[in-house]
Amino acid sequence: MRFSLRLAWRNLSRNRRRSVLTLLAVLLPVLILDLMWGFSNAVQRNLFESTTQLETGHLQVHRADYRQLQTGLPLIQNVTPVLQIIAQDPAIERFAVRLDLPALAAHGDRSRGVLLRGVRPGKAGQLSALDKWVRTGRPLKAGDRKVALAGSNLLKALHLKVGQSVILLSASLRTGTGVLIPKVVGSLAPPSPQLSRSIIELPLADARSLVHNPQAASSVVVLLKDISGPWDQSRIEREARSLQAKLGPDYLVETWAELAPATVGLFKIIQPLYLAFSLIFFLLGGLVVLNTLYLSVLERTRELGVVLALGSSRRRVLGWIEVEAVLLAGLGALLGSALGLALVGWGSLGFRLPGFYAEFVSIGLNNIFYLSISPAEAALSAGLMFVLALTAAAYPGWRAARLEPVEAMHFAG
Amino acid sequence: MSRFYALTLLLLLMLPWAASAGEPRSGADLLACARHNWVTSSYHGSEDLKVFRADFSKEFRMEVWSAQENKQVMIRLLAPAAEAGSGYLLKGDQLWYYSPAAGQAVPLPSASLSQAFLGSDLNLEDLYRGTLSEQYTVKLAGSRKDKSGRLIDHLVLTPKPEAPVVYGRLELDLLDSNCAVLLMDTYDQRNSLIRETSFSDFVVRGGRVIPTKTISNDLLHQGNYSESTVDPSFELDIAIPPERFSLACLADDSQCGSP
Repeated sequence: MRFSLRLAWRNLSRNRRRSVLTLLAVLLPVLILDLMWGFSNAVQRNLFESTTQLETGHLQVHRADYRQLQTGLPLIQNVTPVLQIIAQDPAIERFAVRLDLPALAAHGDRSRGVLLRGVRPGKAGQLSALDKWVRTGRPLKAGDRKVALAGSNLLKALHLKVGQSVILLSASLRTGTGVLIPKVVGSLAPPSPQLSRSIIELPLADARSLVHNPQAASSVVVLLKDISGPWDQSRIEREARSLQAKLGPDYLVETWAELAPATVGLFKIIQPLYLAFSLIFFLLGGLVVLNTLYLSVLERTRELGVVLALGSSRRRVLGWIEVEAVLLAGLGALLGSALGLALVGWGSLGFRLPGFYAEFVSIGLNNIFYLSISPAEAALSAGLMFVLALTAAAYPGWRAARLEPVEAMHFAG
Repeated sequence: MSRFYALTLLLLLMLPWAASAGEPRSGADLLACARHNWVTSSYHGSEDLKVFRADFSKEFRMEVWSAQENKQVMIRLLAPAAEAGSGYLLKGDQLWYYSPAAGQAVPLPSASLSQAFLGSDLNLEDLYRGTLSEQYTVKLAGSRKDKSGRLIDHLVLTPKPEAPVVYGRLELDLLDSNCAVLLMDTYDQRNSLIRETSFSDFVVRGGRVIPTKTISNDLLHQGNYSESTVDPSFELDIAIPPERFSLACLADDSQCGSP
């Protein structure tokens, strides 16, 4: 075995250019695959965080019948008991109370149907993307009353300016009519034009005054501890079941995946795409390894003929070729993996993709990406490439072992 | 001179009726006859609207004025106390809402006409507009006699292709003798019956047969129904000052003209 190793090493070092090329043929797919895993995870994490941190949370608590209730506001009339249970749950990192209301916004002789979102001003109480999209004016502040932020397209439609007041009317059979005339202190420019035409954010206390109930909420948005991406979905579902059991049948606990099926749909597109790309890289890498090793056997046809003529067994010749392949594939996979992990490590600190800002932001993504790769993914890309390289080397090895010594010695290349 | 013109116009309008007297009536004739019952030159009355849900109910009282064949409608809410003083003004396709808390009239999107009025199972379009003949193609689907031996005509109304109607079709049962609508079934676009509205407690006023009780059942939500009752003291074809149908009147009763 030691002799085979020495011989293989000598053969590899004899034609360095060919060996380096084969090494690169293994190294590059592993490196690219690691980067692809890293980027795929970054996109998924970005999409997940954009959805959960700013909009859906990992979990949301609603009234049990909120989806069936089509002719009224699905309000939790008294949210305090829900908050008490949530506050005691050790798996929960933070939570926010929201009051979403359909309403009418009017200014002068214009009016539009809007969605009012009542939040507790301040980052901790909000869990909303809206503050991030403040274009002019200021975000809501703790202690604010009778102020609002409105979508910039809505401001245009109502001929309303920051600093002016807007009439908000909310009507429901159960709660009656509510009227509020807040001053618009800022405009919002969310990526969705539809949202920009319809959204108004206001302090939770003001939203509650519209439904004449100081304890009302439409949802409680919950963020769990130690959740980093959609790969933690089983834990999220476990916590949802646990919280549902604690809250009882009057409430419905839903996961982000149930609340944002469009995002889940995107994941369903992204994952097979990356898988298809990975497969193509593996196959291309395998073909390059096959080609390089085949050429190396072809180059040494006469030499192998002499070795066979001197009495070496065909099995031993096959072994030499395989050992060469093991050395090249192993080294290539190791180096590719090391380089890939180093680059993913560097990318894990976060980086921006210049020129893509609008496109990414328009689908709700953050423009900063954080690459990441799990040990299993790193091992899989290196291991699979190693096995593929060995498989690809089997054909030239088999061909070398079947050479007729006399024919091989006369081989002219 | 104006009386002469009015009489001439009336005679001209009556000609088709005279020509068709004694002949079987078509669906369109029957609908026009029914429309004659509910579309008046003017109207003033008080109405109660009770809205029932599975776990609660709410009652509204309102005063209603209408003119120009319901093209202009003013509704003033009298009860419950929290809503009292608020009101609606409908002029053609334009609708405004006034709330004392807002202190000014607010224009409402025209879609509000076909949305639940005060959260009930009725909408302003159904209650006051009577646009059936303009937006639907009508067909007399058959006639039958009820238990009392009265002849009931069954009309099927299908929306015209360009009509801004969300329903799939309407089916009406009306009394052949006086075109009083007894029942209106509303179907969605998938041909499922979604609402059943019955009319009863008719009074005859000025040659018109007017129901004073309307019950609308939301068949999609069990236990959801609304009951509208018109006080029999209502007045028809009276003179209502045009100021009644103004934004100034909507916001301030003292601006509504007299009487």
